[in-house]
Amino acid sequence: MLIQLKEINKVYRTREIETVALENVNIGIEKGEFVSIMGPSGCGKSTLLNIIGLLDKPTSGTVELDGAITGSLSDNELAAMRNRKLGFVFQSFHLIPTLNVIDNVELPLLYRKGVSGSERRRLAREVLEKVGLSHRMRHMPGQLSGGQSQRVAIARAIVGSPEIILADEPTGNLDSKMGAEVMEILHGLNRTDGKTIVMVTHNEEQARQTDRIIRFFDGRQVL
Amino acid sequence: MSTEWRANMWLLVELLVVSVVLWYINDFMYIRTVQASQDYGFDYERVYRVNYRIAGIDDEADPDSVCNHLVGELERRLAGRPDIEAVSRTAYATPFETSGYNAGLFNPEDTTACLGFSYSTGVSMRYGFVTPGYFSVLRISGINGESPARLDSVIAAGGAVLSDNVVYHEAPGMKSGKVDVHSLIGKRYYTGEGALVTVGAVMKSQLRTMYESVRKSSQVYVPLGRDMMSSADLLVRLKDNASEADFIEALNGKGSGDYSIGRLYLCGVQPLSAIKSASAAEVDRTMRLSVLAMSFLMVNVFLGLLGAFWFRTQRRSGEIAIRMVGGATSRDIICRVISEAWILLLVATIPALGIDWLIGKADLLISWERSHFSLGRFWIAAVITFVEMTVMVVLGTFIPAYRAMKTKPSVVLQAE
Amino acid sequence: MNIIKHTFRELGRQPIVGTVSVIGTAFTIFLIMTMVVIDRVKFADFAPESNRSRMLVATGVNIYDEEGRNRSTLYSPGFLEELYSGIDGIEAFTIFSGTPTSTDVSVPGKAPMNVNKIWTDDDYWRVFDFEFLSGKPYRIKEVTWDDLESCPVIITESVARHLFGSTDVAGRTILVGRAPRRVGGVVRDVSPLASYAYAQLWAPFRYERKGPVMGYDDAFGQNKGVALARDKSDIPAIRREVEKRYEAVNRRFKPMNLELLPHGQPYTVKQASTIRGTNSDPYDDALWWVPYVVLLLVPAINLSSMTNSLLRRRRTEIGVRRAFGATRASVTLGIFNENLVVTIIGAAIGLLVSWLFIWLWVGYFVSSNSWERLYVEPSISPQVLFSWATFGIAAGCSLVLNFLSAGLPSWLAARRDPVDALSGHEK
Repeated sequence: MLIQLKEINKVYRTREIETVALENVNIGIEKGEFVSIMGPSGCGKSTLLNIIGLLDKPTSGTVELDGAITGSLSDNELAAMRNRKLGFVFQSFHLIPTLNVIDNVELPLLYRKGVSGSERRRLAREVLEKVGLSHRMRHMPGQLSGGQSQRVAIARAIVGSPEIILADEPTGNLDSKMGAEVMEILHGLNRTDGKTIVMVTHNEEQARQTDRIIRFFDGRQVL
Repeated sequence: MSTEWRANMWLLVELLVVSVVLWYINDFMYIRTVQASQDYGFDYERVYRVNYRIAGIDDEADPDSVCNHLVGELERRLAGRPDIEAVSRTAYATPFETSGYNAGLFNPEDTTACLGFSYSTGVSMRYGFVTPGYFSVLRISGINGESPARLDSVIAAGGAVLSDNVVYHEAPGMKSGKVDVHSLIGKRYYTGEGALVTVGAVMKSQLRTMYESVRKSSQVYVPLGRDMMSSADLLVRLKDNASEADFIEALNGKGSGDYSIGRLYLCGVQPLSAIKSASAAEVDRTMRLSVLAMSFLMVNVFLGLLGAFWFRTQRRSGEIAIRMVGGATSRDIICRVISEAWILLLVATIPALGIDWLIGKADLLISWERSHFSLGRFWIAAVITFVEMTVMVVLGTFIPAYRAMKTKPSVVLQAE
Repeated sequence: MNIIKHTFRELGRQPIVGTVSVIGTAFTIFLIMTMVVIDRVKFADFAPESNRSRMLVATGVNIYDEEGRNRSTLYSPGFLEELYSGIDGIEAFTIFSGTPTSTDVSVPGKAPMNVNKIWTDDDYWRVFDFEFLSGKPYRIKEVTWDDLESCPVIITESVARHLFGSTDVAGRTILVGRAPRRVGGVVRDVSPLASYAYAQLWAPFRYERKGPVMGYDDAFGQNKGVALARDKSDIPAIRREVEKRYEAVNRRFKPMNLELLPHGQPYTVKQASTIRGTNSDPYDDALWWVPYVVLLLVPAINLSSMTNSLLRRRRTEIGVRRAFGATRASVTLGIFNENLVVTIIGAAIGLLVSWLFIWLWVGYFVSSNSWERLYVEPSISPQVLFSWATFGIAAGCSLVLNFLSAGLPSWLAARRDPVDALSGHEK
């Protein structure tokens, strides 16, 4: 298993209220799988994705990524692991508005030791070619359409050659045509490059095209 | 709710600190304004010091006698000019000069006593040695309305003119008591130079510099003695309708030859305003830097306060939109946000006033007659501070609230 | 990726806040540098007082007389000689009149000009380094006191130009107080901010050593003295020797009920600049740093709240960076460096404006000695304004300001939970 979640619980506590976001979740994802996570709003899908993405820690349970148990890692070790093993694609793209396209794509490589400036540029150009946006390298995010923005975000997610891509409703802000383009790219990454993809989605049709659907309801996995 | 309280606590602390700092700055500015508008006790506009030299005077056996003769003639020629109102010779009495002569007035029956107090208790006055005409040159009147000419006649008769603020000290540095100067009129005393004078009149006390404590230094004017002639200054007052440029040209330019008398020659005229600037130069400059620094701090404090409330209100844009959706009018919203901000200001001001009072009593304020920290002065700075902060708080709250109200609630809430 | 371009783009997104940040920084550095230069003017080296750091000054003495009265005054030449001559470690010692007097200089057919005049000995020209445009310093041995018309005086270039229209006038005759004197040399104009070297006319004084000072009248006079130490490290030894000599004089004065109070003299130039009158000790202001700290801290607090506001808009970006592997430290450093770009721009503007301001209006904030008889507006030497020390202080203050204004906000921004940052929520 590339990703292993065992007895994951996530509880949010304030002085007055306790909210159970995830309850006793056990998931295993193999290398090269394309998995969808579905469920109604507030069921814990995004929480699960954040935990897999090492952005959040479970209240209890273990998260294992590529054989490494992540619970005991320090903040910096988690950051390094995110940098090497994970790529993120967000619903709102989250491109940095003051950086141009190629600078946005290079971003993950800035935090990787041993990569020179010219090497960063070369890798960024390569992935932009892959997503078909090499002619927009100097454009600012404000000059791109929604579909183009998401393609840049995907390029950013894969520039560091991570094994796992986590996509949180990647087509949520796109029309059907652009959405289909983005899904095609993701499927290409999965089939051709062997990337493991975990995607949160509301779109039943897109989910059916993936290898497996994991459904959630009120924080619990539904079989 | 607890985060709201935490945020308000920080704001309260900021308001408290700002209030204290602003109070100090406002007090400083108030004092500077009062100082700048003080009455000096004399009129120095259109008064000039005529500078002269007597070649070879240092080689004279009796320089005072030579000076008396030559400068006396110069004085007569100047007094004869149609544009001159009054002329006088003075030693240690040129306004704004920093050199001074301090001594008491000694009781003829007991020369170890000053004005009836023992010598050691210290009645110390600043002396001015003058010729008749001095009070007319500087337009100094008596405290009972005596004209400058009347005070000049006291000097002409060999008398003395005292200021109204003579004090005695029980011991050097100890507390002081005021002398009833009017009761001294008609009495005879020896001056610090040993001359016997009769006190003829009382005048209002004078300031030497703008930064001097109010009426702290008492003065006595006595006739210029023969042995001070060689160090005497010559002061003249121009008539109100006379041309200053013509006067300066007459004494500086080719016409200055008319005033070369024997070995005496003129070397320039100086307005008293120039002497004033020069004597106060160092303090002036320090004050300017302090005013600049204080103004800078004030602008920073204003911006900080404005910003704090601006950002706070901006973050409540969503809340404002929801209230509007619920039916609140613009007036309701503005009144609400401003009164909330104003209540915070009021709550912070109360302890701030306590701290301000402690600072005032601890004498950490700028020096201006140290005993002068009064309730009135405290409240003036406090009111100014409160008004300034209210303006900043209201501006910082009103503008972002107004902008939030102008935006469609649906647009604001979409972001939420 | 170009940090400068990126910073400017960020400023462009919030132009008001960005502009206020730059202006606020500029004004802070302007004010601080103005204060620094005004302070440095009192003790930094500039010609002709190029060796201020090695100078020790005797500025006056306090004495309790027979009747127990406290008087203060300047020295007699004999007393200064007794205190300072022959001390190992002193390269040169000069005696000169302590307070310039006003006198008039003229040539036939030209209106007289009032100038500030002092009398000096020969060593004056060794202790201070004047630039002679013509002629040379006088030597008292060569003065014929019976023929004062040949007595040389030194004048400044402004005086020479006023009288003759030229500076090449050594050897010409001028009238000083209507008495003829020979121009021995012409020097470059001296800034009135030079406390000991300033004058417009210098004349040699006549003095014959009479022996040790024996009383009140012997000790007092109208003169000051300046000693030039061979090296700064010689200063403590020189002071100890002078203290011993004061003690010897006091032992001699004791039977006459006289007592001298040197108040720790001789002083360094820096110490002397803090003295107010001869009856006080140098003012060792332990709290000199307080105004600077306040002037840095108050705007830093404002700037930090502006930085906070700018960063609030970038919380999603920070979340993205954290998601892609940025550590807290790298996020903090990144924001800090961006802020440093803004600080450097603002500081450069502030420094340039302060230089311009002081150059044009130094008289607004700095006064030369208040010689009421002939007040002269001060001018500032480029050596004081454009020095590495001044530049270094400006750079240091900028770094401190940046640290204070961006340190906490960037640290807090980096610590924000990336999940909250990405979702746009604030706790």
